[in-house]
Amino acid sequence: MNVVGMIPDIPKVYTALTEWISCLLYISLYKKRLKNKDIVIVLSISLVMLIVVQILIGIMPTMCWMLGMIVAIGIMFSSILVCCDFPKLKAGYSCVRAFILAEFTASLEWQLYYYFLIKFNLGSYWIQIIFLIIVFGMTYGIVYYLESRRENREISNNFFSVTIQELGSVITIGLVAFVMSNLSYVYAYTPFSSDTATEVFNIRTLIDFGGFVFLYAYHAQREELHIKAELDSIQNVLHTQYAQYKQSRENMDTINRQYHDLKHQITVLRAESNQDKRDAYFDEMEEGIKVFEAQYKTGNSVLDTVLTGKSLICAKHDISLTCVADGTLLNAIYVMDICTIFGNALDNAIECEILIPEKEKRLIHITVSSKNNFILIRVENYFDGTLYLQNDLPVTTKGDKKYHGYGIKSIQYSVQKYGGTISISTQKNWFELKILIPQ
Amino acid sequence: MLQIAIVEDEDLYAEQLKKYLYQYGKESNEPIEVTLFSDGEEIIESYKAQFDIILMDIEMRFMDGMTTAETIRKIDQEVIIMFITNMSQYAIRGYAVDALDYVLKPVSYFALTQKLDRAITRMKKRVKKYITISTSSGVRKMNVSEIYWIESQGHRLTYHTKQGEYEATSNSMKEIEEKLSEENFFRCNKGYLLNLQQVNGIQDGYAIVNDKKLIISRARKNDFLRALTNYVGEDVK
Repeated sequence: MNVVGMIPDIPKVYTALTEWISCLLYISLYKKRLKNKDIVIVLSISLVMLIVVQILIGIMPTMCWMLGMIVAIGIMFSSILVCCDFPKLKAGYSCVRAFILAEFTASLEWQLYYYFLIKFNLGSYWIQIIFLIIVFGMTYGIVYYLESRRENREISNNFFSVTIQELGSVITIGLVAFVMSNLSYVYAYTPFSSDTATEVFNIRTLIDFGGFVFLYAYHAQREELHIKAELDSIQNVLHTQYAQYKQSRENMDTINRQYHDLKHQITVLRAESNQDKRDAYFDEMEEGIKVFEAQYKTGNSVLDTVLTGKSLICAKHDISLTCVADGTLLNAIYVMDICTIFGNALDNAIECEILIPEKEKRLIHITVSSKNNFILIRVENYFDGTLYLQNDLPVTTKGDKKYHGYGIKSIQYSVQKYGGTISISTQKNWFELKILIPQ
Repeated sequence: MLQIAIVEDEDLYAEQLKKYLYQYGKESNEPIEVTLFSDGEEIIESYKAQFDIILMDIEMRFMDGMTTAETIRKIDQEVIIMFITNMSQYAIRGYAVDALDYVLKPVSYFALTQKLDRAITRMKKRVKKYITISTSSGVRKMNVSEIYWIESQGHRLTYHTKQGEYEATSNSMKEIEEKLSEENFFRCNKGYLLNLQQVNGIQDGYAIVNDKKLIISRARKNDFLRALTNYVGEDVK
């Protein structure tokens, strides 16, 4: 058994056990990749491996201790990665949290046990085991309660992805906690270490506790941010949906009016016996319904729908919308992305045009064409006055900033999926959004 | 002098357009000459690429605007064709004849001149430019748009062009880059200066020019894509 000062240090098997239980705790919180039977096998193997590694660490000289810990962390990481339906970054993130939790629990248990050992002189084997069960049980019970309260939310299981920066922060916190807590254990003569065993235990437990709390707080804050982003985008979708609903209402009203007109005309026609007059009426009716003929037949039905919808808004605001588009070029692009690209681009353009007082200056032009093996999408609109660009994106002058900001960012996101680029510029009084997508 | 043709079978519209065009010419200090045709067939008869811009009605009695534009494109790929129409459902197919803009009837002076102005600005950008380089076999004059890319190896520059490869020793890469700075060339890595006009695709970090792959340096990838988008997006036809 290893010794700190004159006192025995944490038995290595304990460390292995806490590492393993911590893994188990985090694995239990998330969606699994494997069947329960396989998880039992994987976890049994990892338990044996962790115990073997920890025993080896105990035998080997202090120099190899660091290496041994890295191997142990590697085993924890692999178990989480194999069992949970996680990408590597997220498995790494959970692994760091599990590791610090393990260090803390092992340290806490041993410190408490040692305290009671001295105080009441209770040295039996059985007491040691009972202590282990009580302390582990309580610590893990509390942690499980805290974590599951958070993690059981649908949202965290499915939507959380960990970025490389987030993993970086977590590793930094974990590393600092780990190094500081074990400083005395490796080298007793720094300002932050001690050579008396009780103090060494104290330092270790408290720093590990600090590390755990830090990680927990970081995780909680990160989760809040993700939920907020999620809510914002849902809000955005709802806003769009509502606009579409209002649009459909208007369309239905127009159709209803037309229906009543037609009904009257048919009544008149029934009564008319003169063939020439009848023909004249028919011509008139034909002329009347011509407006309802789909104006946009580009070869891509999604683009047609978007254009038709937006053209009605344009018509309502006296905006002259012209469009030359080879829709067949867009057939390899997903419906959602076509809606995002054209819907947002046109919404932005329309918002800009409505602000122009002179109606003949309200001009929007769209082209979709093929050029040098690229799909070129161009949305241009006339603007009055000056337009401010910030980071290549226009700064909106409208009050409704909340939804507006999403437009161009969403376009960019959609376009990037196809390896495309967007470019925004102004030329004389024209705002130009150009999108280039490799064919 | 800008040569503009109006192909329109309704005299009233034709006269109005003509008036608008002359007014635009006066306002923008651009000498303009307008020729009127009353049908597609009429302009085809004697067409010899003499116009810069053609304003054309789509619905005409004998030869409609689309067919006329198709015939004209076979002879002249450079002319700007702009439809004047109340049938936007036909004009939407303008891409087939490289007519990427149109004006809706009834024609508003503002919309017409804005669209003309943009077309003319873009047209002026594609004027042919030449550079001269001295090679071992003498001085050569080269159409800039026919250069694929320029490659530097040590002190030599190799021009990869439609006509073949030429080696020149007179300029350094930096000098030639400055000389062509207005001409949509892009230094995609240390050794290559490529003509954006000739880029036919991008594939995992390579630009495809004349069926060859040129590596784009990682640091310049975003700038390259933006430059390419801007260049391609400026095309008028």
